[in-house]
Amino acid sequence: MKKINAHEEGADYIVLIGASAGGLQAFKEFLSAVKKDSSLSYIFLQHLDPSHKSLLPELLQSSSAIPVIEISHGLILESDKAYVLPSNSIPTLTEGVFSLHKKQGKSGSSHLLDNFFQAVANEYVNKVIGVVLSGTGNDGTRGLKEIKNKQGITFAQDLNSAKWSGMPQHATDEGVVDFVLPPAEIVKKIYGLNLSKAPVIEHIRQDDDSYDNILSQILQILQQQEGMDFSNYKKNTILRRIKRRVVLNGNKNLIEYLGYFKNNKDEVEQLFNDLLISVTDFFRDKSTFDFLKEQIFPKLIAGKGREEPLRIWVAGCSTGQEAYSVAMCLKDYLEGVGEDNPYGEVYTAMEDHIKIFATDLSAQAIAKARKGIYKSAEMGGIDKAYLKTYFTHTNSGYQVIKELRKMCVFAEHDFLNDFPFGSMNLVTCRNVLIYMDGELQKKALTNFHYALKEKGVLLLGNSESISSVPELFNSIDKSHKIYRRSDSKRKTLAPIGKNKVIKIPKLPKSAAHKNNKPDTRDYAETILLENYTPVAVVIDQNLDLISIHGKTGRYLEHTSGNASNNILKLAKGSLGFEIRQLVKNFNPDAKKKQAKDNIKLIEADRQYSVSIEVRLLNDIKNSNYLVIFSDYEVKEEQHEVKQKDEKGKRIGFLEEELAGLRDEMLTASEEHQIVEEELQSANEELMSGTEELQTLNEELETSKEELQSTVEEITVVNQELYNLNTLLTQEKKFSEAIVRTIRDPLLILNKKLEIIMANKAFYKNFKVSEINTMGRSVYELGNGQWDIPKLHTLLESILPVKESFKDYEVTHYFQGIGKRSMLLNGQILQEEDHDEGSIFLSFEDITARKEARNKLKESVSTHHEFIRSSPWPIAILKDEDLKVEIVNSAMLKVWEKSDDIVDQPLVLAVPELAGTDVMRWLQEVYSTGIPHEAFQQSNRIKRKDGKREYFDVIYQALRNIDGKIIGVSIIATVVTDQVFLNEKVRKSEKQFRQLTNHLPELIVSYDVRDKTYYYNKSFLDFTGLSLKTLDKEEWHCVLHPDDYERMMEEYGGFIERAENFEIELRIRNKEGNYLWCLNRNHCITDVEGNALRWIGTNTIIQRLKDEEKRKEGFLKLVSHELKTPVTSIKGYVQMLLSMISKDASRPISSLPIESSLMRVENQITRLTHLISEMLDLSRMEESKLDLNLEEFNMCELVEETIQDVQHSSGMVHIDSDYIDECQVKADKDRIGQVLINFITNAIKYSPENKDIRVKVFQEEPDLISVSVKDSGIGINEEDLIKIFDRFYRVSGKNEGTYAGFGIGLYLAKEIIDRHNGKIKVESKLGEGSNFIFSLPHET
Amino acid sequence: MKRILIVDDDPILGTMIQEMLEWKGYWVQLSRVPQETEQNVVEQNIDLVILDKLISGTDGTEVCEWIRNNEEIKEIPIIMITAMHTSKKACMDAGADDFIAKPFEMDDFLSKVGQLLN
Repeated sequence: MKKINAHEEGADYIVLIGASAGGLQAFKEFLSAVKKDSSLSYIFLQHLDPSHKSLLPELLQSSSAIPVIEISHGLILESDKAYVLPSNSIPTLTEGVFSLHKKQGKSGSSHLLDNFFQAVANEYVNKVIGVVLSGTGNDGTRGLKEIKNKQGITFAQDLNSAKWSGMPQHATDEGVVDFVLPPAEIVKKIYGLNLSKAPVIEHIRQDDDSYDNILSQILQILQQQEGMDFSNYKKNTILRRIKRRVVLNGNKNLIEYLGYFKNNKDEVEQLFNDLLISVTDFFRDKSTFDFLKEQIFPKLIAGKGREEPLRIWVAGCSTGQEAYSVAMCLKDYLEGVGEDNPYGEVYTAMEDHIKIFATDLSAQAIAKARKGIYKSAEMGGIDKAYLKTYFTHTNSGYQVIKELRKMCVFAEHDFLNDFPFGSMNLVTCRNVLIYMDGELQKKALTNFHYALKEKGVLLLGNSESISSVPELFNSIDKSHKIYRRSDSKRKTLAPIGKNKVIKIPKLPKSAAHKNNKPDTRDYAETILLENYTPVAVVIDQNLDLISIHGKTGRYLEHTSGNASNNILKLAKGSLGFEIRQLVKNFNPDAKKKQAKDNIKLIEADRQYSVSIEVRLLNDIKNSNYLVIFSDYEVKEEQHEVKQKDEKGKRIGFLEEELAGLRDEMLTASEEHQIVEEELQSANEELMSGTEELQTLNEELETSKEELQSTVEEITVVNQELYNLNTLLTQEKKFSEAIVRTIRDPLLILNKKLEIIMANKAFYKNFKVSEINTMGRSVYELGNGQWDIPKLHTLLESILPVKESFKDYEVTHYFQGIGKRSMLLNGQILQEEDHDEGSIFLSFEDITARKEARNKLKESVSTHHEFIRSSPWPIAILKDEDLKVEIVNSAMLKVWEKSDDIVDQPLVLAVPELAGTDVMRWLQEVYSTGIPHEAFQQSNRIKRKDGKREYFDVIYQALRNIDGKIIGVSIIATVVTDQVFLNEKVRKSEKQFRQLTNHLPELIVSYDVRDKTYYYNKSFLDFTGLSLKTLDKEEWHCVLHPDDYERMMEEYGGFIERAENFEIELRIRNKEGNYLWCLNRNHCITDVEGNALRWIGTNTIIQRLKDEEKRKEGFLKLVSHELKTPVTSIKGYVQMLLSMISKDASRPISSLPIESSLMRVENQITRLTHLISEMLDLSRMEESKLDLNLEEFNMCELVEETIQDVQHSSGMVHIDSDYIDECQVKADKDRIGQVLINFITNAIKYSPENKDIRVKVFQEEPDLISVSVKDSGIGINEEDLIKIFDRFYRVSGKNEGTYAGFGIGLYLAKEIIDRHNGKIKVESKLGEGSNFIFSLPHET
Repeated sequence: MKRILIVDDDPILGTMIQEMLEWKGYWVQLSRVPQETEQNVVEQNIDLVILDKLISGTDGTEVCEWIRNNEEIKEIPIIMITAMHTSKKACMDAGADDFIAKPFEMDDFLSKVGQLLN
């Protein structure tokens, strides 16, 4: 793979492939046939959407054996690679490197291929292969043309395989395609052309003789078959074109091609056509045309006579664009000139005096030029204005208008070999001469010179010039290549001969012989010339010999050295010098003869006196001269002249005569020459004329043919017209039938409002007869019944202005028919070119309809009245924008608007509603048809007095007969009071809840109607349940199941009868324990006694219950405790009594009297103690515990008490500790009680260890404390807390009987508390207890 | 001689009943520990159990039930002593054969005992 550079030797080919629609498929097919090592590079261009990134590279890679690369800026072109253009980019390729530019705007894509192909072809010349595949439009045609011009090869996709055939078809039609094939075949063909081997022709050098031979053979064959001699065409051009043909045909080299060429007539024709390819365009080099228009045409027109035609010859006009351009330019100029035209108004007629002859070698081209139809692709060079003015757009393209076409005459003509036209004011021949070599150019220019009139103008192509014939033209404008014919008296013509086989018979050369002079005269003159005329030579301006007359040996001789024709070299002696002088100083206008005499010439001992006369042979710059020699020998013996004087005189005289004769001879000869030349001229002019006639003839032929075809067309059109006519008659009959049978009355009036026609329906409906209607003025109908003002208005005012109308209503009372309402439709029919028109009127009787409508109106207004008078707010809204159609005063009051809001859309009428849910509902109802109810809606509009209103509103869809929704109705009922009431209720509910939430009672409220429960905070907190749970399970789930049963059993009836009741029941708390509550249920009833609401309150009485239980327990205990000693007492007493009375045998002394009585005593003590405790307790309960306060010494009391206890218990050891200051003020007895309690407890609860310590101390500054400490069994933590509770006895089965009721410590606490003292206990299980009480120190 | 077991935790009452019954010629054992009842009944060949309903916190009916459920001694006659005659039902339900309320008449008591021992 290497970089492709056009200028390298053996550079590889670039294949340019372009497509538009359907390109992807085509590209894929193409690429799939591409081989890996073809040494070609492939560039793919497709018209892409600039907004999308193209995925082409990826899509194509899968079908390709070679890498597919997206073109990027700066990318180097390499062979055996495929390049894809990205979207929105314009590519260029310079010296093997890509550049990319962003596309500007949308335009430009349609010439993507053309521009790129042309650019690449320009740089890479013949190394380009262009391929146009599927696509619409005509992009690529010009590109292919350019490639072909540069000797590249072109392909187009065939119609069968192309998805879109526009582009390939167009290119094919334009003849710029070498091969038409399917994409894969195209690839194969390219390979088959053997391009990679650099064609042998590339290395042909110009002077290579062998190729020259072949070339000339080819040219010869061409000349034979096509009659055109290309041998003086530029060799390079010819070679290139031939080489292209070689490659296209697949020949290996030129020799092979020659063989093929010889035997193939079509190939010859093809090559001929190829050689004639020329690129032409409209207004090529626009500035040149501008120059023509501004500078040249004015002068040309001014310079010619009024009646003289303006003649222009466009030589090598190809397909005619050049000629038409000149025509347009000229016409434009003429029209632009207008009043400035020296010819005044006649300028339009001048156009008939303009003739543009346009000629070309190629018959094909001329045919196209004659047609004057060009595709839009070829119209690039034309201004839009010109396009509009000078062209008509037809199906096949743009066609030049008649006027333009008439100005031009097209003919096949060879300006080199055919006789040129004459008397031209302007000749243009652009970009033709470049193909010719110097000789041909000279010939052409000479012909043009001939063709032009005096001071005529020649226009050449940009790169051409008149340098080969500088004497023939003067330059007017070098840059635009405009030249003026250089005038001379003579016209000469280059000889016609070698280049062409003569088509026209030529006139004989020597026209001087008008009357068929016999040859003898010729002979005689020849002899005379030969023998009696002086020796002369004809030389040209350069003093080169042209012809020799007579024996010049005396005067001229060849000298040694290089052979020369120059007279200076040939002339002897000083002759050359003299001749030169004469020529140099030659004055063509001088009357005197230009001669020099007595030039000495010595030759071989003889001396001559030579005379030379020089004469001009023609009056062109490049003139030839005739040099006439004469001499006489100068003899030394001059004195002998006397003797022979008479002879000499005679001789002299004779000589003079002879000289004179010679002069006459010369003169005659000259005149003869002149005459001959004039005849030649005339001859030439005749030829010119013939040529012209021939041209005109051709033109006429063509016109005739065109006329023929026009005639054919007309015949066709005629046939069509005939058919149309038949159709028309049919149609007419048809419409007449319609009018007759139609049920609606129809009238046709003329412009004067007279009735032209009425149909049956009209007569029937309006009860008029035909006679009375036809031709009458419409107003006269039915005895002037139709003289209705409204009809007047219609026919006279409305119709003339509007031309048609519909549904014009007229109501009129007709005699004999009655009142009729009608709708009229009217239409004016106006003929284009006539003043006549007719008025069509059709009637529709709507009387019945009108009545029905009125009835409807009535009912509607009744309906509206109903709405208006309703006390409820009602509004009817119509259409999607919810226009207020009807609104009653009640609604207006709600909206606080007045009735001027009718017909306005709701959002505008009541802006306060905009954006509210009301609007949303309305729109929903309108679109879905589903009614919407909204309850207790507050008025969205705040009233000025601030009062609030509430409504129940229903929005319903209104439908028409077909069921389509046409509006929405709003109907509201005022529910303000209800709402307020509800609010009150809600408020009170709220209050109720707030209240109940603060109560410690567990409250449950049940709404009978709603079947809803309400639980206050305390309930929820107590039960630990959430509302949710309670909702699911109902409140009695927290009741102890037995209690619930019991409640239902005992109070079920109450519930039914809505009677209040109370019950003690257990409710489960959040720890899962059931606690006793007093449940009171209160029922709120309505006036009829129906239950509305149950309110249940639960007061937790567990403590009470506990106490109750304890009391019960206590009573039991009391019972037991009291009864037990009584039983003992009774037992002993009864036993003794029994023993005493019944057991007489036993002596009294043996009876256990003492022991029993002792036991009795003991039990009585016990009883007493218990009773007093009980009494204390009850008194405590009733708060009747009065304190007898007295001051005493605590230590003394303590000591006394200890003594007492020790006395009764005995086995106890009590230590004591006293302080000095222990004065207190208290109830001594009671405090003593407390002490005894403490001490007896200490004793009781330390059965083993009887060490008890009582201490009096001052714990705090103002307190006297007494502590009783034991080391007994101690108290556990649980009991420690409750030890001072009433009835609390430490449980445990290890102790013996309880010595008390559990009241002792409770009483002690009460007593101390009453004294404002403190009491506490410290104890540890197993280690003993320490009870302490404190009293205020009395100081 | 019939052997009687008294289960009562009040020493005075227990002693009184014991002396009363012994006066009447019965062999009497006084127990303050209801748990030892079975042992006592079996070991001492007890013919009658006198059970106080309230024995240092324990409900006597429990003891009664327990005796009745006890294979060894379930047949033994039991008298329960209670402070409240409202407890009668509870005692009888527990399986006592008879019951007497405190304070009781001596004669009443003695006759009940005699009945059960015959």
